[in-house]
Amino acid sequence: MHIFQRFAAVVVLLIPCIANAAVVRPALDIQLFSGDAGAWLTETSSGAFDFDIDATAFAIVFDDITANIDIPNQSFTLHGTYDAGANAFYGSFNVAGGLLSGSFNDLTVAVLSSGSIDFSANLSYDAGSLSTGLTGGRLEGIGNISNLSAKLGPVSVVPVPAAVWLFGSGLIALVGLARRKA
Amino acid sequence: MKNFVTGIFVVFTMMMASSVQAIPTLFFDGSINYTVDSGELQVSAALTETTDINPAPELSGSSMNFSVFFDTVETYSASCFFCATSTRGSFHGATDALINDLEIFDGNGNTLLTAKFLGLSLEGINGGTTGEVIGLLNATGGSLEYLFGSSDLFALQLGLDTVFSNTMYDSNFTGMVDGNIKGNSVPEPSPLALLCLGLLMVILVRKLTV
Repeated sequence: MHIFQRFAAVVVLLIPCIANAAVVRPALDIQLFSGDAGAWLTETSSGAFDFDIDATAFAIVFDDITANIDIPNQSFTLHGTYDAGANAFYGSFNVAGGLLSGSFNDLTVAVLSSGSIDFSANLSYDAGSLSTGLTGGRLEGIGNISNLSAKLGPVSVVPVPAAVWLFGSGLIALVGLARRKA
Repeated sequence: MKNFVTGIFVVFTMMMASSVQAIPTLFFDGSINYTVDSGELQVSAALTETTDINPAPELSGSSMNFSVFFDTVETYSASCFFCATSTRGSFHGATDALINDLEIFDGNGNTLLTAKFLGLSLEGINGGTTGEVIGLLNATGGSLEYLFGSSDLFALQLGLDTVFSNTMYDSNFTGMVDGNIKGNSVPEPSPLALLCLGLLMVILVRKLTV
């Protein structure tokens, strides 16, 4: 019986670890658009490094790829500073438009033979409309200065499309004009 | 002297405007599946976004499928600070020149692009479940063939149900894939057109005021 209980306890403990090991969807799709700088490492002094990402978040993707949601393109930026003691980067990230911001202290990077950088981190969400009800998520990606692809998830809120805001502001303007004429 | 400076300014501005490039890009998101018996790596995805393509294709209901076949697997290691030991698998397209390796359809079922792979590789850090997919394509048909004559595929492979190692191709595996296909860069016409329009306006205003 004790063995069964221990086994159950180990399984229960493992579940969050497994969930933490990969991006949970729905997730933000982040890629390199024209004008973005990509991902790069800088040696600021001997043994000290910075890691930066400049890319674009443009869609929320689900496991069912036909249910993807297009969102207005927003700048995604990340800056990390290498902590030699922890052998990891700590820093912060931001998705413009008030969508999401947060921090991390366990970002790992590894350079492939192609020169691309493989990066991943567990994130703490601080603010943003996509963070409602969530305490954190995960970032996984790969990229360089000419190409990048990353996923950030989970995200929780379906943002109102830009067209709805434009339509709404147009309606308000029309109502305002009608009132002034009257 | 004034005309000389103005001339240099105009030439410089025109050069700046004509240097703006548009890169037609198709972004996709989907799943990847490797079958050891056939050595076939298949990707099934949907388009999530396009840039610098006019008119923009219908994305809802779109599909992108490609398959390539396993060639070799190699292990790489380097000695830089963040370098890691990685595994790279190399793949080739169908040997029959008439069989397309890649097909992309818009949401209305129209063929956007068909292509043959000149080569494709899949590389990831040993022990990890994320990796990089890099491919080189030759367009063979579809309404966007003229934009994607010779194009590059780049994708993130994540959530694999196996880990990268030199034995990973000895068994089946699946995962997710997320990336883009970039076509040939073409000069962006609108900045140049706007500049010419602005210059014409300046000339017109000067003539009218003289």
